[in-house]
Amino acid sequence: MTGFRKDLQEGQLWLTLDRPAKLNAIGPDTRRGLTEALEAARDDAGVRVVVLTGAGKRAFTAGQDLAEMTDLDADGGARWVRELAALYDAIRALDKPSLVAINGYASGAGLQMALHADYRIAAPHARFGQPEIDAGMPSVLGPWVMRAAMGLAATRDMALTGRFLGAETARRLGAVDHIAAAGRLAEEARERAANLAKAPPLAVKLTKQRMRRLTEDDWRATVAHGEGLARTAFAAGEPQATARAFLAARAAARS
Amino acid sequence: MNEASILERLEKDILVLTINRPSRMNALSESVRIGLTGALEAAARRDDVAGVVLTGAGPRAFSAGQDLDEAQAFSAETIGGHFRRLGRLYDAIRSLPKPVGVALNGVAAGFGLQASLYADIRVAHAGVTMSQPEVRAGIPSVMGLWVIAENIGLPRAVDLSLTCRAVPAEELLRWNAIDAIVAPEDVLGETVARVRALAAKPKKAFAASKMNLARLTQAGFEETIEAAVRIQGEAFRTGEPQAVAAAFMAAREARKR
Amino acid sequence: MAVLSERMEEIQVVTLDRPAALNAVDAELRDGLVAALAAAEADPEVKAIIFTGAGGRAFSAGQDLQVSMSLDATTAPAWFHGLHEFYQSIRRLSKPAVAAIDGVAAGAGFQAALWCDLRVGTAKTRMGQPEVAAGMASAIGVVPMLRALGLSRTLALSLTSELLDATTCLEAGLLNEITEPDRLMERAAAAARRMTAMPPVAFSLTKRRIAEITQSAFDEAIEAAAGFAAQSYATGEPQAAAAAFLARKGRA
Repeated sequence: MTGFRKDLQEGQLWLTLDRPAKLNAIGPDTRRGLTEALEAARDDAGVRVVVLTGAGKRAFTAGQDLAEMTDLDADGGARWVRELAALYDAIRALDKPSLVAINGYASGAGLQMALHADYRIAAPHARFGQPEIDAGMPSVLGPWVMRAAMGLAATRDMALTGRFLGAETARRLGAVDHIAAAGRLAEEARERAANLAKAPPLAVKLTKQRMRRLTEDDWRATVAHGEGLARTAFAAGEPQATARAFLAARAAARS
Repeated sequence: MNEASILERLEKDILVLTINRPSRMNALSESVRIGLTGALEAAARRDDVAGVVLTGAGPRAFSAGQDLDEAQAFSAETIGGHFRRLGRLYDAIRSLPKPVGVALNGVAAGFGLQASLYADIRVAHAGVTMSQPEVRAGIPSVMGLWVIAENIGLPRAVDLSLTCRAVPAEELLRWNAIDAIVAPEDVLGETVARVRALAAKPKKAFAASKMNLARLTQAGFEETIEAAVRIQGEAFRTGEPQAVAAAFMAAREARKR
Repeated sequence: MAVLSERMEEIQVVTLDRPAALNAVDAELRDGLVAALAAAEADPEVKAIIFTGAGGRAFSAGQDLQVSMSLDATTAPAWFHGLHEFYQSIRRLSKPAVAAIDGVAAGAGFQAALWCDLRVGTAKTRMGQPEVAAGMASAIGVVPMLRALGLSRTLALSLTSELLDATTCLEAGLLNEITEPDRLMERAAAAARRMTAMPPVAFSLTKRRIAEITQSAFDEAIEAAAGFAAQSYATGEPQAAAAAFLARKGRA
């Protein structure tokens, strides 16, 4: 499989990011595969609720795979943003409930997937961040959903400093709905997903469709802006150079 | 001889702008507004400036808000222009492509609170409070309402605007309205350090990220200024703000005797 | 009378008074509230309004189940248009409005409280938006919820239909204060009096601006809700949910 597993049981479709040695980082194949799986789930009557989580205890996902960044050009950068937007669109487009069980780091795309979903349950040790800026990437898609979820102050703080928040702070600021008891994340996520699956489906669908409609124009404008900025940033070389430097420093630290 | 109402100095690559009217609780006057706006707009172009820190002179206030003597001269005809010019100062903070911090050396009220919320970093000490006392001065809260709501939600904006209460630092920290509480003597140094840390980030990414946040809030920011012009004009045409200001001045005079 | 309105010095205390039904909103309560608020707004001796719920268990548990069971696809839209006036009567107040919430504030009760200026609660306060569990789309409530809680939490609360406890409400800004039940009215009055001291023109223009910020979203939401109600009632989801709830309560 392309970096994630699919499990359908009792109407719950669990999509588990599965590259724990790489903190479940999302490369192009995983990104596209996840998007397709979500789009298929949308029309699959056997799926009543979608759950996203990560394998292992360290990370839900550390976000985009930096190795992908090093050789992108301007077109590649724009395409990368478009594909990420397509992934978030696939989460938004679900007419049935979605839940993210955050088993560790939720960074970059990980934070964003969580905020686009309907419900966020976190392990007590989970950490949330938007460190794109430290990778030389202008932060555009993330701040849209972060601002929608947490307001401007928290968004600016996270997007400009790149710092990570603990689960309790994230909950207080609106990024997490419930913190599971230690060691019980999967169980509690399963219970919560089962409850969500029982909600009257038309009421759920109408509610979700309306929220999507209310936010769609603003979101589309942001995606367009993000594509343009990525094109500019990658044309100037800042993200590629920063990614290369980061990977080199990490390799040096390990040897 | 009039002392400069804004002091400027460079701490290496960080421009520190100090509102210098400590006997007036660093109240916003025309000269403060002009000085700050000019310095911020110039900072964008200066190669020797990597970031900006705003602070206030003395231990009592960052800024306690609008200068009341100058407010005596406000009228229904002139109040709109005043808010447009104030909007330009706030825009200079939010649109600077370099990091801006506010070292909250004391009370931040009205303009003081709002300027702080447009900045990227806010550091305070335990005795600092923030308030939005416009309504108590007979001035409807429109721009303050918007920037508080954008940052920390509408219910808190309603609370602050309608009760005019002073919110203590510890509560501000829980709301993420400020970033840190440190000892009073460390406020400036900590703010400079945090702004310098932001200035050390990849520059294009920082500028693009900050400008993206300004883009997300642009329509609301512009609409709010227009709403302020409209609503303040309406308020001043009733005569209430002028009457409240006059009563306050009379009380102040009476206390001096 | 489903709504009591009594003067306490300069404050009008408006009490939702159907304690056996957890002060649920039916036509009589809805119309009673609109009338009480119009009178309070017009009375120059009234300087502020405090809302509360009778019975010590609920501010209001939301839309009355009997109403939910009696509506159908053709009558549901009119009910929702009636709710427009219910909420608007709170939103258009020029005087300070404080909700004193001892118990559940859910659905229409939650929304009524959110349109007030300040909310004081007790340890028993629980707030939420259980429309979806009742088979109804959450469309009107999301307007104040989005402003208070943001997109993600609004969806979470709307789809789970869960009720947030008092501490969570305080942290999230849904409550301004938590106090003891026997101090609730005193603290609500103190909150109201912070506001009655303000210059009235500046105060009322600020309140008008606050309502203006959400006016078009609110008006549009009512229209959307009326349309959704017609769809939902045509499927039978709301009626089934109400019947199931009543059956669980053993009162069918």
